[in-house]
Amino acid sequence: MGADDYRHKFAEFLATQTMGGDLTYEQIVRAQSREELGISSLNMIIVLLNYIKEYANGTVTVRPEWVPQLNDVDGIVSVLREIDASAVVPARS
Amino acid sequence: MISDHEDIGIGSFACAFGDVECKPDNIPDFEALWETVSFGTDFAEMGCTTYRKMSGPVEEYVVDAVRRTLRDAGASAADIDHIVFATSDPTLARLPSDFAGRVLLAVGLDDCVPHVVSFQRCCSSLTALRHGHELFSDPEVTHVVVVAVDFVPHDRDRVLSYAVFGDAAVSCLLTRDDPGLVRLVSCAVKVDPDGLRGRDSFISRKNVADRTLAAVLRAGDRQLGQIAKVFAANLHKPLTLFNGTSVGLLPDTLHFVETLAAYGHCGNADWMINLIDYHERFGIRSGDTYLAQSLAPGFYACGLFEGSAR
Repeated sequence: MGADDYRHKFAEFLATQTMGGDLTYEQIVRAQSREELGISSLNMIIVLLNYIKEYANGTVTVRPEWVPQLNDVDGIVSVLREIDASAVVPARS
Repeated sequence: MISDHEDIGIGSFACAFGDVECKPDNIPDFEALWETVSFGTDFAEMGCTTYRKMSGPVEEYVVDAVRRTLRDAGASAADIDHIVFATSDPTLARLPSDFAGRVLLAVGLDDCVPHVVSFQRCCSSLTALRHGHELFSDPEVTHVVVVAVDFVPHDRDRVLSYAVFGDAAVSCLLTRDDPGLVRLVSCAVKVDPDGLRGRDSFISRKNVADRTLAAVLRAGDRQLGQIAKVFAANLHKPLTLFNGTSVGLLPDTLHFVETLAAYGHCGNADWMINLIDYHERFGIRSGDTYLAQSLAPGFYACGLFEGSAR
């Protein structure tokens, strides 16, 4: 999957989360920063941990080098790709 | 800081939690309060089921903890040379001006010098421990009590975006020529200026955490992989897990889940509560390396300990 596909996947996943239900795919495609989307630090951490649970069956641990990437949408999308690539179990499509 | 006093044992930890058990969702207007600070996050995921509230004057809980520490150590009040109180900044402002005197008189600490360490928010107790340790540079000092205390008078002030606050006083005893339960290997506290300005970020928080952890490991001549268990701060569960893993600590080394569920975040006393809880459940092992971790907006503190030979 390319970066655009991952933005789409991020948008779809956010829509399943209690704090992200109001965000549209268009908003996420346009956004540069997490702040623009109104996602707090706590929310971002929960989204990340829930994504790991959902797509990596909890087999991936947060890596220190991912942390600075969580402030902008490109960085977040890049982290999601790495989670999928690191998953011991096959990632759900 | 690296420990110059390898003959100082730290032990006889004692907790005096608030006497009233409460549930966060029973706080008036809890749902609206939580929505304001959490932006739609499910509170059930935060890991705090109950917290404890002090119904009486704070010094009663401090006196109870100190008495139990002395009893456990078989020490008398006359043995204690210094007592170091540690508290977060808001609690410092709430303490009565004669707080130290009341505690000294109630315990019978007639030849004991009181100190206070604060202004480092929830990181104050690790600096207090370090200060207590440094008091042993006076060869006449044999016993120092360190007490961490934090409480919140109004329940609505307990619910924050990073934690639910509970009330507790926890004490321990530093003794010369006694192995205690652990000994202090190294200790460090560092500042995140962005956090002091209320503009902390993933990057600034990770930066101060990395610097602090590197400092204690370097001073203690240890590697990250040698840490057997981490006595973490009881922030919301996802935050605590994230904060640990973001500096390379493995999730299964963090000890906090049960105490977070029962007591919430007891300010600067968390690492001591988690050390006690871990020791009661599994036992501190001689020679193993343990990390105490505290953090607050603007600060990060670490203490490295070694289990004592008993």
